[in-house]
Formats: sequence, C-alpha cells, structure tokens
Amino acid sequence: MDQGSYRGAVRTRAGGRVNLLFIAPLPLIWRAFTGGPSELLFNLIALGVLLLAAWLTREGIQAQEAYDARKVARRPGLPRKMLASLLTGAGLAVAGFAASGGVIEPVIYAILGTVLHSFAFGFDPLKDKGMEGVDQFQTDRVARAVDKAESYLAGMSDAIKRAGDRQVEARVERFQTSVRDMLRTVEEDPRDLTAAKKFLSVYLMGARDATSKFADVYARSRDAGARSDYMMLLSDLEENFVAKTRSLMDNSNTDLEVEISVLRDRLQREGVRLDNNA
Amino acid sequence: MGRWGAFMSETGLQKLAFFVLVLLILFVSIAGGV
Repeated sequence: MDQGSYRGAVRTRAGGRVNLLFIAPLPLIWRAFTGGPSELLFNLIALGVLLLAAWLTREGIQAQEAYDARKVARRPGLPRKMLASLLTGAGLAVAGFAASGGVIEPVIYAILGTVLHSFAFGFDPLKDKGMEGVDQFQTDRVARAVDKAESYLAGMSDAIKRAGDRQVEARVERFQTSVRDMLRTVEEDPRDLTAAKKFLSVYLMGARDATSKFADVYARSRDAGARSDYMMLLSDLEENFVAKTRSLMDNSNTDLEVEISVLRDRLQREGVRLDNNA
Repeated sequence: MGRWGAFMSETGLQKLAFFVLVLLILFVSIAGGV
C-alpha cells in the first residue's frame, strides 16, 4: 500500500452525472441508420456535435477545478463550458432539423439546450487571478525548463527498459506522473519556476543518472538489494516532488530544505554527484 | 463568476437544469422532437 497517494484528494465533479451527456445522444445512431441519406448525415453531425459538447463540458469542469484549486491561475485559453453550451444547442438544432425539416423547432431546441446547459454548468472563469507581475517572458523560460525536464523523463524511461523489470518500470512511470504534476503546476503559474527549478533540473538529472546506473547493474546482476535501494530512492524523490508541488499550489514559501538535504545525501550515496550545478 | 458561483454552485436549480437538459437531449434524439 502506498501511503499518501490519496492525501488531499478531492472528488472531481467531472465524472458521474456528466457521463450522462455522453449517453443521452446515442439514440441518434439508431435514427441515423433508419432514415434516408440526408437524415443519416444530419443525425451523425448532431451526434458528433453533442458528443463534442459533452467532452468539452468535462474538460471545462476539470479546468475550473484546477483553477479553483490554485491561488494564482490564468483563465482557460478556451472557455470550454461556454463553448459546450453553444454546441449543445447547435447539436440539438441539427437533430431537430433532421427530424422535422422545419426552422422553428430547431431554433427552440437550440435556445433551450444552450440556456439549460449554461444553468447546469455555469460559465468558465473569465479572469486571471493573482497574475499581477507575470509576463510573457516568464512563460518562455517555463517552456524551456519543461522541455528539459521532459527530456530527463524520456531518458529515464529509456534507461529503465534495459533493466527488464516490469514492476520497476511501472514504479518509474508513477514517479513520472508526480513530476508531470509539478510541470503542469509550473506551466500554469510561471512564478513557481524559481522555486521548482532545482527539482526540475538537478534532481531530475540525478534521478535519470541513478536510473541508468541501476539499469546497468540490475541487468547484469539481478541484485535484489540494488532493486530495493532504487525503489526507495524513487519513493523518496516522489515524496519530495509531491510535497513541493503542493507547496507551489498553496503558493506558500514552505521550506523544504530538510527534505532536500535528506534527498541530497541519498543521491550521493547512490553515487550521483550534485555539486557541479545548482 | 463570483456572485453566480455562490448563487448557483450545486444548488437544486443547477441539478434541475441538468436533468431537464438530459431529458431534452433524450427526447430530441429518440423521438426527433415534435
């Protein structure tokens, strides 16, 4: 049992009820294939538009949850829920047109659908919050740092394949998930970069080097001790990344120096040098 | 969103709107409306 993987977790509102939006338009398939060619076309278009709207709704809810979870956040680039409201109306209009061929019914469906969807899901956040003093230049720096971090992660994935141990591979993947959480956090708020820089460069590089050393040793010797040491290292790293990400999201300046020095010792014991770059 | 969020978040109105919406979609896609 991994401790702490559900700590602080909040149930998302994107599941459950929203899935009904994916199911409700499915009868259109049946209608599409029981009528003439024009009905086929319009019903399939309507189905596609309604499914797209359902998907956008879910994305929009997730985006809003991410927005609400942060003290500092950029408004979503695409107002997904509002777009979903419009698409729901449009999809219903096309379906109504396919059935009736008239003009009035589709318009009624479109208005009803759009209004009901807006009431049910609300509007997207339209303003940045707490973004004073963040400029475009910062986002470019973030993009570079994220690219570099992703290349370390790719290097880890490559290296661990040499070890030929599926369990360890899965463990590495889970570690990478927590790293990507941090990447997303930093992307959303470039001001986090300064605080996260060491994690995304030094520690990730250390993790990659440790991984490739472990893979070489383990592929040769199948040494259970090395394996458990490596797993412990990953756990330590993951804990630190998760803690740091959380502190970034709280936007507090919680000091992680204690954990960092423990981690540094650990990495040094694994034979990874950290002193040449900070 | 501020005032609206406080007013609408998970209220009965929101739930009602959601279920009416699902019924509307079902109605239009099964019966073709009208």
